[in-house]
Amino acid sequence: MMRAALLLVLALLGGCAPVHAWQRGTLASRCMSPDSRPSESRARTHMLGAREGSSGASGEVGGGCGCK
Amino acid sequence: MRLQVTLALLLGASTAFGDSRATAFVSAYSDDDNLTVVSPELSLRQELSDRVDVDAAYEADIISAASVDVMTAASPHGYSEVRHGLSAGATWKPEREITFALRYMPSWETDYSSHALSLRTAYEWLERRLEERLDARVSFDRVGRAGEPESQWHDLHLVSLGPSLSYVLDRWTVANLSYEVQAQSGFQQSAYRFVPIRWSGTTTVSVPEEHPRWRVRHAFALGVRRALSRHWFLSGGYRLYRDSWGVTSHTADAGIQHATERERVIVGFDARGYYQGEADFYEERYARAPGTFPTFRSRDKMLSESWSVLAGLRGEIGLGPLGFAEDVRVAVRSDVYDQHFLTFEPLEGRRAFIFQLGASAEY
Repeated sequence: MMRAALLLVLALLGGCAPVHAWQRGTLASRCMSPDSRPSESRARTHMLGAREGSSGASGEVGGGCGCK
Repeated sequence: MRLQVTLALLLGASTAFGDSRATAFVSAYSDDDNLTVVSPELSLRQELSDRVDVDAAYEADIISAASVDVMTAASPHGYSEVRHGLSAGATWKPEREITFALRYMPSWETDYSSHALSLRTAYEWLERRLEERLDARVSFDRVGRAGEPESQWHDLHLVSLGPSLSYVLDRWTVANLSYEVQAQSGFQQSAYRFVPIRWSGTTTVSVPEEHPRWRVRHAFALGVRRALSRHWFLSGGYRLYRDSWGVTSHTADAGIQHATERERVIVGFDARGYYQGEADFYEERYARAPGTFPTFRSRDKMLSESWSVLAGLRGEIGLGPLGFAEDVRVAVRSDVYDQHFLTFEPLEGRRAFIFQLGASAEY
């Protein structure tokens, strides 16, 4: 049921036209992947997490308070 | 000679297993509130088979601080310390569309230790157009004061769960939707900070900071990445955060990148704006009837009303084969971080410069 609702929302957002493997060259670019620079992202999230009062939903993991 | 033989053996062993990747990275933060943090990191990833990767990393935060927070706490001259962190993980893909990743991350410093464990599951469906992820994390931390026996430290535990979706809208656009709930329980105040309480016109007493033992955080984020052409890329996102202490925050970010042919050179600019309201129990100045204290009190500027802007330039160059490496990439990034505290009397704001340099090699 949940997946059916999700499919409906996604269909409304992006349409149902298939995106074939040979059409995904641009999507495979490093610029299109949020995970292509893990060290940079981790350092940035760690720095901001130690200076601002909110965290979460940005993929950060790991403990340690760092310095505020 | 012995070094050459060892290197040859290591490289031979890694070739037998599959692809490897080594990354060296350093980040330096310096602000006008007399805080400097240098953070080196070294990480290695080794492909054991088509389905299994293992990785390990070491990181450190080398901290030198004499900020307002520190000067008003127990140490009047500031301090220097080092935080060490390790990470060891394994990724398993039993099927092409399914991924499991398990990671253990211990870290320690003179007044804080942490043992965190995370598990990620990812499943791709709709012909790999949609990816569902579920991130779970537990962390067992200990908090104390430097020089104090660890038996006197306090516990701080964290559990978090974060489902997310990544969807290919069309051949140029990817959208991400994520939610995370975190529950923290235990000692959440600073072991050093004291809070001034004004009892009457002339009498002020300082008492240890006291925060609620429970904090439940909710964060919801939406992001979009779009290729304008094969060389130009845009990204943007928004995050809404709310927690049980009454802190609400809004974060918006946007970026643009340009990649040359075969992504030999990538340059980019991005900016981020952030605003947060203060916690329910936070007051810039506490005033109470003589002999009484607020149950919860804080001198933590992270719980005050604040806003910040972060903007930076980055560049990345692929050097191609170099020595024993099949591909070497070098990246450099420089940011300015401007933070303003609207309800924190000792400090109006701070400006920081952040510099990052990284190199990765695949062999």
